[in-house]
Amino acid sequence: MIYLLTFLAAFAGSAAFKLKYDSIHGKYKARWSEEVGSKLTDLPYGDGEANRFDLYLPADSGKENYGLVVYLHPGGFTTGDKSGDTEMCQWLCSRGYVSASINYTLFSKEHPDANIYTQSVEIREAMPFVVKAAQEKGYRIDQMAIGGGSAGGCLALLYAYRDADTSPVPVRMVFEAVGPSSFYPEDWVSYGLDQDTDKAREGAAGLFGTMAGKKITPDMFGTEEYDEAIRDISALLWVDSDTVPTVMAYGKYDKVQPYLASVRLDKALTDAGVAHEYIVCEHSGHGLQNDNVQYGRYMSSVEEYLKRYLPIR
Amino acid sequence: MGDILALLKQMFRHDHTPIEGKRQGEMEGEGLSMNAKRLVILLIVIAAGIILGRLAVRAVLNLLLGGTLFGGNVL
Repeated sequence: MIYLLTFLAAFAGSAAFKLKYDSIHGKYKARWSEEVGSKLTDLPYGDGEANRFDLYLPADSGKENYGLVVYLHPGGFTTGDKSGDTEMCQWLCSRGYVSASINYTLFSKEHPDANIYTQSVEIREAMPFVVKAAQEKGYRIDQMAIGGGSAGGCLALLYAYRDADTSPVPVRMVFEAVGPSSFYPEDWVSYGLDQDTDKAREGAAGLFGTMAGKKITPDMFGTEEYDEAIRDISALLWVDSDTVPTVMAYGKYDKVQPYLASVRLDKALTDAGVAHEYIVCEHSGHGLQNDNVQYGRYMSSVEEYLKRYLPIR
Repeated sequence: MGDILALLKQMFRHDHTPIEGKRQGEMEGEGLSMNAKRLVILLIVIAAGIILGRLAVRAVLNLLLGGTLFGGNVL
């Protein structure tokens, strides 16, 4: 009996410790207080219920110009909230940046027309409001970076690659983890969409059509017509020599979004001569959960790129 | 808890009260050996609990997100 109880206690304690363990030892967490910064919550940028953003302003308000870093939340385009970005935004603010997290209308029963394209448009429309809100508080924004995780990563890439020309201030870099950057059925292995069957092709057409907000049919796959239809939600198809420097991390065994899409993106960035860091977590899935060393490398690369391309002056 | 206390008492017993049918030296030698075995088993049980606890969390997360059972992080 004593052995059984001891085993259960060790089992439960070990499991709890593993779940709670911070692999980066608090290095990217700020000790948030008024001495670090202040937060403005639920500022509007549109009429939609989700069209709200949070703004984090550094305590030091005496600089002539500030860099803005926007971070977008994950959630499969169907869930999530900007409040989940608090830790990241506080850390960015503690480094001297104005930071912001932006909500976007999620796909749901209440909003069946919401899709990746409409969400990316909302982010694009939000940016002037974010910059203006900071400036009204005395923080003049003259450049920015954008980042995100998963769905937020996809949207961050789209803003940086597709919409940077519309930005009120120059976009200097983008960082993201596990965000889908393209939608080719042969890459979506974990969903079975790579199978050479009618069911797989119809499934892919349905899924990607919903994501893009467009009518896609199976016979479009592999054609230029498909690329044109999916272009608005595929960051990959916007890569060129002017694409901003990029830091990205992916799990090789990702079940949620295709690792193979990140291989395409890495190749495209390399071929275009774009400065980028592509961190592969060789033993991890969508959470990058089994490669703490690599995850640490991702965050230190983000830090390095922020210092290089969005330096604090 | 009672078992652990009895185990500890046996390990650190100083009195030489002979146990029926055994000589003193033999008694002490057998007592230590039994206790050592119990301690080793307890340590093995704890180690197994720790290892399996971490593996269980990793397995569940892998099921949801994908990933390998070994490699990368230590368990």
